Amino acid sequence: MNQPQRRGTLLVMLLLALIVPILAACGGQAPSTGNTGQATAAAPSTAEASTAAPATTAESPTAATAPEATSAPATGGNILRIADATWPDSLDPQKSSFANEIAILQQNYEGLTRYDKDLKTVPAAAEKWAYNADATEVTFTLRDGLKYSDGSPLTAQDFVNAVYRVLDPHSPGDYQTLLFMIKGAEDIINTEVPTDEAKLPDLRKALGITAPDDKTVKFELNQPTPYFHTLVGTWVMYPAKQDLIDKGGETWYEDVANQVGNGPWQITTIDKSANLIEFKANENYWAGRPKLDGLQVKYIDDLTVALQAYKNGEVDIMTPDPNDVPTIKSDATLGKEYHEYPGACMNAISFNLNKPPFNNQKVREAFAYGFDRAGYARDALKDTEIPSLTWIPQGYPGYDKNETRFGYDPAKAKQLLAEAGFANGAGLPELKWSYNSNNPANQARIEYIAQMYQKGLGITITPEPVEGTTLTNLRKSNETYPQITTSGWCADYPDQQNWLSVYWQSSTNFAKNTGYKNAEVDKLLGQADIETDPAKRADLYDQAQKLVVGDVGQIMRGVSKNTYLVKPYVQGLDFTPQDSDWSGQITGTFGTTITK
Amino acid sequence: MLAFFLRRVLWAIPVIFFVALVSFFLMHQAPGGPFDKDNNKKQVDGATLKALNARFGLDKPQYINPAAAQTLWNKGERNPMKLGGAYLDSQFFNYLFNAARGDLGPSYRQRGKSVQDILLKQAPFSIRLGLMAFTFALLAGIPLGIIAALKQNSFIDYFSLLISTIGVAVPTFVTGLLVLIVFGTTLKWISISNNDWNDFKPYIAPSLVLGLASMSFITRITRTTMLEVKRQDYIRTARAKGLAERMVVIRHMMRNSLIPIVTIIGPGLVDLITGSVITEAIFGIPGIGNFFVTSLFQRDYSMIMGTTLVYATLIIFANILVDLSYGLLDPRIRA
Repeated sequence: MNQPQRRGTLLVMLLLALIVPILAACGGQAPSTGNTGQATAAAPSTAEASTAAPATTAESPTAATAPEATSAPATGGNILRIADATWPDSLDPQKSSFANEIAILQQNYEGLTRYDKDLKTVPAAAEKWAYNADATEVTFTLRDGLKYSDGSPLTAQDFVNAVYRVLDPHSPGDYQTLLFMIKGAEDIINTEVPTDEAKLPDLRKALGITAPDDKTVKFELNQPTPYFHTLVGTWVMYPAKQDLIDKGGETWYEDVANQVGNGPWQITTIDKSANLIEFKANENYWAGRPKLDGLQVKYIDDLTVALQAYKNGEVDIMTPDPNDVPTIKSDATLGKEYHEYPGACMNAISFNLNKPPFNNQKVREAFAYGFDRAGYARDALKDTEIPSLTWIPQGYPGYDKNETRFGYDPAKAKQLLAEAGFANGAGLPELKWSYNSNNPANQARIEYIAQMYQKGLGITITPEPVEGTTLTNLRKSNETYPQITTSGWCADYPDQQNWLSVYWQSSTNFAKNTGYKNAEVDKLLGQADIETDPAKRADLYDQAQKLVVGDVGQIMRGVSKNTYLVKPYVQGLDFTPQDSDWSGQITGTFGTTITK
Repeated sequence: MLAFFLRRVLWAIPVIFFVALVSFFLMHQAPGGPFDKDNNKKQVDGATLKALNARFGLDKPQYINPAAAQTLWNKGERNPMKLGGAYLDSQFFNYLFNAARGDLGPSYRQRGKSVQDILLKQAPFSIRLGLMAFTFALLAGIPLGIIAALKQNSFIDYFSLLISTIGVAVPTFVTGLLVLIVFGTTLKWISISNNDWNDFKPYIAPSLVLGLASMSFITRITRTTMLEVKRQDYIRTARAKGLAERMVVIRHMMRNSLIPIVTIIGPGLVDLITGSVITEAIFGIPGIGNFFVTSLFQRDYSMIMGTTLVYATLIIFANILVDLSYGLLDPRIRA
């Protein structure tokens, strides 16, 4: 009689043991990251305010003069709320290499130069720059009275420190190659640490960057680099404060107190538990403060969910899933709020040029003529790509709007294939089309292409799914480069050099891996890279690009579209091809207003 | 009982070692490394890659380092401990030794942060979600199963069948979105993007979504075993000796039908805590679920190992607890 009773209590205790931790876990726990309490509490109230009180006027003068506004995020409708997909893991200007991370840094910091809405390189922290005659020396002059957002002075040495940090052999930045033309840069990165630690101070002294005074940054370069002023607009040159980094240790970037910047905005919250990054207007920005009071970037992984948040009025800008785009376009309200414009990536189809059958120019031409770019963009990509016959996308310097070769022409394709000795595909080796299987949508796309070639040219193509990183590695040598595969390139900075020399010169990895080699292209690009006359330079790049397209080293396919939903009350956004995460990202939403 | 427990715990050590070895081997079979970029991006150049590999110890041999031992031997070192140490100065054993000390290594993707810091910081969100989903599954699943069994072929039985079929058949990304659209967009009871996950309330909707499948499973198992137990002789005996129906159900039927449920409880709980990738993504919960998948694609070696070992350890200990609890429920097993 007694025993069962006791076991009953044990059972109750077992259940209790399960439930107690739940209660404990659910109890309030202090948020663990960033500047929290106030700012996170403000988040929901902002949303309520914006739906409940649409009458709030934009740009109230009181908000503009409010002293050092920690209360700024609470002013309601004057904050732009942006939905982005993936949480930025690392917000370190000299180490970050992913678009979602750079997008945040671009708001908080500013380089010597920046890019305007037409992707021209314009003065930023530097008011002017001057090259010497052969473009091996560049001198940047900073603006008068530059300040960080906390009011401390921003000097030339802060930019020198940024270069030291990228080129740190202890912990190099992934993108340090951008600066390899600086004199002595490679000596530093090739230093063995800790063995040759002692040499570093001298190597740094010998490095081709100096700050003769607080307002001057001078670069000495190994070779003429007439596009250097564009390079220094990239994120690796953002002047994060060295003393705060030293104090903050390896994860300094997680603490907003260390992210004191010089961009139009200042980060106030980095809170992963609320999926939220917030900015306030930087009152000390050289051009004055932005018109809005703040930015909120909310991270929502699932694009369908983000769309619900947008419909709900919880965010003002979001990127829709390509599959939702047709529905959005036909929707009476959403259709008007949908914006699309050319983006930063050229999508192409690349071959292993050293292996049959694609070592044969005629076969490549046949494949190029046989590709229905318009049909593919419309049916397989739901209109999220703009067909293109040339390499540099529209909107970027060097775009060749006159290219007409290799447009869709199945008859010509058939004829060329016959001339190559493979009439109707007879005699072709087995063709495998490798694609990145991480994205489930790719399978249908490659099937579409296979069917297109089957119908048009009688060629049988087998789609071959390959895991993403594996595919990247197959592409790292010509031995393993796939026969045929979807490929492409996204701009790092707006200059022809980044599209042509980095990709098509036979010494680059891309050309080596596909087996592309054209002596004439090499010569033209070599000349263009060091040409100081802008018009001549553009012309040389143009000639090289025409040769590249003519060689069918790749089939140029189309430009990715930037697609965003933007609430109608958001005005003055700059739509820039380089926007990777939201509209207006590149120009920093400086002049954007919200009028409800 | 104690000896049994200790034996099981000791057995866990070789099991975990083996799990580590297999995952380390498989992970390095996949081409590429943590510093690879997207297909359409510039890859890290040779000099930078070399420096990065040296920084993170990826320049060492993978399993054993005879070269280092040889060098030391040639230098005249004869201390077997030091020689052995040099021999095992490899990626795998360095990882194991550090892991045994609680250091799961630096994440390659999240620069400057260690895996244990990341997991410790993000795991509470997953644990809260998992436990709440689990509580819901138990508190709704078991009663529903019992009632369905007691009132076999009644309306409530068919209703429970309907609910559990839906729960098992409809995937979470559908129910999750449905909940968001109905309760978020239409009814505006919950917020889609303005949630502070240190709070308790936002977890309610995702835990119902996540717990639905487990609840359905538990309902069906409870119903089946209850039906089986219901026909046992000792139930007839209990009734024959004049026990009240309530006591028959609680003390005899439920007790005996709990064993199969307990069997699935342990692994089920671990599953709910760690396997909530989709639910976490839909509701934006910053837990550890997505690390299981993304770290593989990113070749974030230490994160892959970290999540695998944590998962393995949780499973092993959940199973030990389940085995222990059998004894509480069934005296025959205790021996």
